[in-house]
Amino acid sequence: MRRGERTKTVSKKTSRTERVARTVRMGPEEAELVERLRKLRGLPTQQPVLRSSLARGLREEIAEEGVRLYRGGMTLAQAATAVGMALSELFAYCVANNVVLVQDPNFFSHMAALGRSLNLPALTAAAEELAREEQRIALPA
Amino acid sequence: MVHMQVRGGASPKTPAAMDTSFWTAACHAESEGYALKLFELHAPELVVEEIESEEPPRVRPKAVLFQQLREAGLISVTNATRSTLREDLFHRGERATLDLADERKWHALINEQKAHDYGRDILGLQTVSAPEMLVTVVFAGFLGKQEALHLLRKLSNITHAQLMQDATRLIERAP
Repeated sequence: MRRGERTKTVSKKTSRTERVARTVRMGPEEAELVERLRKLRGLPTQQPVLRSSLARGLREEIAEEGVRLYRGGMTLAQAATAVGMALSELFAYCVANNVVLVQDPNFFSHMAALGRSLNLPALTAAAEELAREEQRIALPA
Repeated sequence: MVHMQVRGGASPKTPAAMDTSFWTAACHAESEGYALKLFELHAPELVVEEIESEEPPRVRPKAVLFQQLREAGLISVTNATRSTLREDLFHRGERATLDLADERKWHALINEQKAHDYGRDILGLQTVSAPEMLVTVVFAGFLGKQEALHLLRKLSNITHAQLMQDATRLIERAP
């Protein structure tokens, strides 16, 4: 913990959940945003704003760590498990943040093979034709 | 080779082992029905668990749909009799899917790059991602080109731009 941060555990008789209180110094810009949200929501105190912002922000930070692990070599399911997130939640984060999950530089040749395996000759023919066109473009004149 | 009668005939469907990643992506593209039409879907128990019991406990639409289809017998729960993949390779659901597809020589439905490529390049399986499935159903005569392009676009945020472009070009070449 850094200087300026305090931690104390608060147990309320009304709640079974043990809460942890921390004091964090905010910059003027952050403080202004908190106050603006409080006013916009018509809340008497800043506490609900801080609590929801923290929860949402932390979920996003966790998801970002999941994406980092995914990009580092894990599958998305492995990454979700590693950061303790539901796979569908991490998937949704990927959708929202344009994280590429599939690519295939040899798409046409793979689709031609898939067409053969499923007995779809039109698929194989179209994919092979496009693969040939790609090769012609790639080869020097 | 599995023979498929083109244009929506009543021939037996192609059996396929399905992973959570495929179900999630197919549902996102609202194309899970086409997967059911094209393939006889088999999900290993671990995949069923991943889809239906995901934490936090919350009723997710795609989980409910999966559960209903499974209970109606449209998705079978099938496990491989042996596990051949190293435990550090992929997530357990992905391993179970690849094991099942490898053992039965079925197609593997996976929308996860690493497991998809491993299945195809190392195990020699026919692996199918959600964009590949959408292209295929157009050529099988189950879906029109414009509808397929519309559904494909739903996957554009998680699909490489070049693959999106190639899939679009291929769909446009469909008869």
